[in-house]
Amino acid sequence: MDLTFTPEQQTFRRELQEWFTEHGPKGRLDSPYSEPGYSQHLEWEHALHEAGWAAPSWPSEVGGQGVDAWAELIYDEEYARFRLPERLNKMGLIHGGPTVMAHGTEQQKSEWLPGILTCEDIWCQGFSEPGAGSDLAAVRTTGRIKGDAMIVDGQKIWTSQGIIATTMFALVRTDPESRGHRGLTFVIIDLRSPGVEIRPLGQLHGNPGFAEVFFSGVEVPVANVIGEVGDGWHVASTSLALERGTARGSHTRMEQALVDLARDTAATGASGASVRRLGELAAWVAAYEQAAYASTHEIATGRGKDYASVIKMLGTQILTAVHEENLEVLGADAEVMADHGPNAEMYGMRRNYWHGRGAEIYAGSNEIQRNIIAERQLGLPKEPRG
Amino acid sequence: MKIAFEPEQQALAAGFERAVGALAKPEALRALWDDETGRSPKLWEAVVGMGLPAILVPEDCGGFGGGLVDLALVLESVGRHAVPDALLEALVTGPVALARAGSPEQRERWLSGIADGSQRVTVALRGLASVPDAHVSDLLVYRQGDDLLVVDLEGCTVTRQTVMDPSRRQFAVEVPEGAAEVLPGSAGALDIVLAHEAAGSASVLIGLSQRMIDDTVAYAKVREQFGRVIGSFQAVKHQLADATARIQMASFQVHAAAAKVAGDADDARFAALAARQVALDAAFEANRAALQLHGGIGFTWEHDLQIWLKRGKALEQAHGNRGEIADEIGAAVLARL
Ligand SMILES: Cc1cc2nc3c(=O)[nH]c(=O)nc-3n(C[C@H](O)[C@H](O)[C@H](O)COP(=O)(O)OP(=O)(O)OC[C@H]3O[C@@H](n4cnc5c(N)ncnc54)[C@H](O)[C@@H]3O)c2cc1C
Repeated sequence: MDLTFTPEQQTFRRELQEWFTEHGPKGRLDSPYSEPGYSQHLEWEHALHEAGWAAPSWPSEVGGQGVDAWAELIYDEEYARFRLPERLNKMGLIHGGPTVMAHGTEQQKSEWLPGILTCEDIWCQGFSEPGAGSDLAAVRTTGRIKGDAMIVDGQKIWTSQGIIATTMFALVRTDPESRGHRGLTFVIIDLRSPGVEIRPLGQLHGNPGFAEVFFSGVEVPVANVIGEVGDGWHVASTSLALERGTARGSHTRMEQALVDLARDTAATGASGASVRRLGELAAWVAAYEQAAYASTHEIATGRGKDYASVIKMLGTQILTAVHEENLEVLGADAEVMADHGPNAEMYGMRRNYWHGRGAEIYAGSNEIQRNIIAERQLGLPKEPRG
Repeated sequence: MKIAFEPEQQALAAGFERAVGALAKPEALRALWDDETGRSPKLWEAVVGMGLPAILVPEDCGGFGGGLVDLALVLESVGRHAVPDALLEALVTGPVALARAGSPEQRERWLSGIADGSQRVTVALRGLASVPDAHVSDLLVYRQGDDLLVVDLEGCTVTRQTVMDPSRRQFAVEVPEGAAEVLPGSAGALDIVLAHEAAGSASVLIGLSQRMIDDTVAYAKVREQFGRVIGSFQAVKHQLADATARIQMASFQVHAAAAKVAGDADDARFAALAARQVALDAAFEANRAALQLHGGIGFTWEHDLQIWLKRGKALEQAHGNRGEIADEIGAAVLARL
């Protein structure tokens, strides 16, 4: 066991640091959901892309550099350490694109992947529906196949980035007689098509972006189906595993949240109890970082032992606990939101706090992760399903 | 970055696992409860036979010059099988204290005997009221303020204490005036010894916690109530999933800490404390869930679960408890600002 990075990895890290120092945005960008903010984000994304830093782990044929899982981790760590802007196209980069890489044809890869890197297309994930959240197999949005086209009708909800997205990877029911996870299809829908209506939906922490997406008679080429028609559950499981899976710099952001907590603890006059709580949390933050490394090791060695549910469930709990403690340490002052008013975007820790609470729900709620651990890892009997 | 254990480390642990699997079955452990020494000479012979006491002894003193990471999986096995002997002290903290803090003469005198198994060492870093295995050990390393001292146990008064875990043998030790020698390198070595203690005890706790949960999962798959196995109830599944997740994430930190301590990394002490902290949290939850989900049968003297429950509770306190460790980590985080 040698927990130091190799000289090549350290060189890669330095190269990135130099580039980020020189080219990274100097101040905080405006919200990508505002006009000026969107252009600022786009400018940053183009700079990343032109320098080959949009997605270094993607194959070079589609605009990446084909670096390995450790280099990807280093990239994510540095990106987070420099507190660079949240990626405009994170759904495409993290789950959508890689799912196309895993299950798509060569034709589909060359059609869809470059647009993610250039941000010509902004991707969103259309899985959830009003009646299908945890029970994702209850999807009712239909896709009727008519010749070369699929006619989509129905509704998606809680769609992150929905109001800026151009492209959705969705699960639709292509066999109207089917129930559960049979008869579902994974398809890419161009949201600029006629019959698509995107309605903004607020989020409780005031951050815009969320949407409901309605489809009435939307025509989608059957060529946009990833994998086989009817095999959507299998394809979606790749995407879901990617969503809850690897750390993508979340361990670095968690460390930053811990440092912020430590600063506030010191500034407010650390009590014995708050130092103790800080110590407990710091230990779990350290363990979470090792979990990120362990899962990277699994990917790098191709063994693929699945720690995704453990990482998702405990990671979100630890992060929430760090923020909760920060609220506790700040006391009544925690309510004061610095330069943003109560109806505007929340700032810093307070926004992150609520976002963390959301993370315990999305990507499969933590109850669902417990079911997965109990059933897949411990072999306990499956939940009865309707 | 290379985060897997080396094949030799895995092979050593597998060998130890086979040996204790055969020698430390629950019936054998119970039989030792009524034995005066409470210790199996065969088990100690096996430990010596595998060369385990020599692993952390430097090569110039007849050892293998290894590091904690070489014993990390062995220590998990110690916990998994609830081996009663104070092996953390005999194999890890004792040899490390003498090697790092001892004068050349002290190293010479004690370490080769430890390496070949003719001398057995025990350690007390937190007072002499409850020293493990003083009755079968030849020498004791203990802490007094910032000093580490060594004493031949033959000249000491050793009084057995009554404790909850019938496998443990704990003693109050009185050291006669002038009998102990200070280890002159204590100032530089104390932190290193404490880091070995924290990380090593975390390994034992991980093995112990995993065993409690493995046995509880097995039970939840066969015990039926309301016409179903209890493992099909979500209230049961979720407790097992929570404990499993904690053990798994904690074990990543415990493994990393063993490697960092072995490699004298700058953050070794911090990593070791964090490892102990998360292993304690995981052990606490595993202990709670294991008894709760066994129900009444788990509370009987006849059921073997108590072996792990009691060892777990004893070891949650023995090498610095949750509050003490968290205080130290918290202070370290503030000091780094
Ligand atoms: C911030 C945020 C972003 C999101 N982004 C997206 C997105 O981009 N695309 C997308 O498709 N979806 C998105 N979602 C939706 C998200 O995936 C769902 O909210 C989530 O899967 C839970 O489904 P639900 O909201 O219908 O809750 P429900 O399924 O109704 O669950 C309500 C409660 O019941 C519990 N529960 C349900 N079933 C079980 C069970 N079997 N056992 C135990 N407990 C159970 C849940 O854990 C939860 O506590 C997002 C959600 C949030 C909060």
